[in-house]
Amino acid sequence: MKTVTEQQFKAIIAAVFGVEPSVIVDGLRPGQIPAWDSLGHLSLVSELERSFSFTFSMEESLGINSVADIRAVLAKHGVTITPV
Amino acid sequence: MTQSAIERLMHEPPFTLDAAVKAERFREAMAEAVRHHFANNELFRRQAQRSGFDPNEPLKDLSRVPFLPMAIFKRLSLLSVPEAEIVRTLQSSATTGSQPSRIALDHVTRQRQAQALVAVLTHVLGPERRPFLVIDADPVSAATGSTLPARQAALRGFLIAASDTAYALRPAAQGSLEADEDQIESVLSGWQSSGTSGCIFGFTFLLYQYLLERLEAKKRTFRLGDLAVLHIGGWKKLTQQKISKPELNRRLAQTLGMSERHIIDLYGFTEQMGVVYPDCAEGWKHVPVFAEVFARDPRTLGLVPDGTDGLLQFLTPIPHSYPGISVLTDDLGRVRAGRCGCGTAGTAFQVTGRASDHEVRGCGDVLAEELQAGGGSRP
Repeated sequence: MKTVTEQQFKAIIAAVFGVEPSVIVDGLRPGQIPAWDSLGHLSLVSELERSFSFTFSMEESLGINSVADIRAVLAKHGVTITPV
Repeated sequence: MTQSAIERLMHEPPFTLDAAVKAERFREAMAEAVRHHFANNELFRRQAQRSGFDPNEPLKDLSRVPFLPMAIFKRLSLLSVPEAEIVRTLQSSATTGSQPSRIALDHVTRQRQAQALVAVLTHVLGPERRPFLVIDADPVSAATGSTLPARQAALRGFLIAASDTAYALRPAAQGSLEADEDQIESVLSGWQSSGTSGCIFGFTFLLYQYLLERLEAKKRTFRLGDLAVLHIGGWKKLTQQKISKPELNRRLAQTLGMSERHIIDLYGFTEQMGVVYPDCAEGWKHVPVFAEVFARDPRTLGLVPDGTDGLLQFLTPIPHSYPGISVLTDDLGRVRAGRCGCGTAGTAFQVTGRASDHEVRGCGDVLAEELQAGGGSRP
């Protein structure tokens, strides 16, 4: 999957953490919701890999400190997030 | 906020920086860390004053940085930040008759720990994440909450290198663990048939007891040419059973059909979690850019000459929430400078044992008692 809508993007992350998609804003950081702890982070990376069919390096996984960072890594791997 | 000397250091390549540049960057970062803990931790300040150390003078000699004995972390909860900033407390396993260490972590410390660990794991395993077989039980089934046993915390940290994680052990009766032999068989035979570059990771003794001995008993061998084995946690129990590192490596390589060079013993301890020291091909542990090591005479606590056994003292600017930037351990070892046969330059060390002799052990304890007697910051 190389193109997703904004809605799909948020839904993927929201499903990992078991929260409403409206919670997934760019400024959201690990620790701000209980499910985004160190183990939740590993689940997040695994789910993103499954959804977008590429693998994160250790550095990339470490570098994700907000939802905005997820966008940046996806963009680097050629994933486009469309507004609708 | 401008990037501090410590944050800059964490972005340097861990093992390849020119020695003179490393020394300079490390000194700057340690000076910053020393000033932070001197200003914010009473015990660290007192220890500095005892040794006539002034944090406002340029830091020229790293061996003069005040150190805290490991025993003090078992006696006191030490903080260098307001308690509200603590997000997790690590608790080391207590050996019989001793108190566990309690290490309070804030976001800053945790982030640096993860950066340090990724830097070293990338050096050892390459940048790509790999499937892991962890020689432990699934931490989800273990205790959760803000206090985490240090063994679980150490495991979790390493999982950043894992693209997929299987657990080789499961909880058994009375809080003990047992090998999940079907799981081990299925993961290892899967890796063998697909040619996967997997990684087996766990505590040294658990690796020996639950994986190697079981497979040997069943005479089950594999051909896992691309496998890496990382193990941590020390040799105390294997030494008691007279199992040496060369023997463990030989037997693992034989049973798993892998290269001994890819079996890597890691040294690290809870009070400086995040910093791990892998063996190089020559059997030495090189200090990364964000750490330094000294060996001290157990009686005088003065430095011993290179190559002579002493108590190992480790420096790293990583701890921010507690004053663990300079810790005198109970481990004996020798330190060496210069270029190693493996090609890496800089300080390297080998751990040769633990200070089990009472006189030696007493020294760290006496220092801890003296420091405690002056009053500590117990939250």
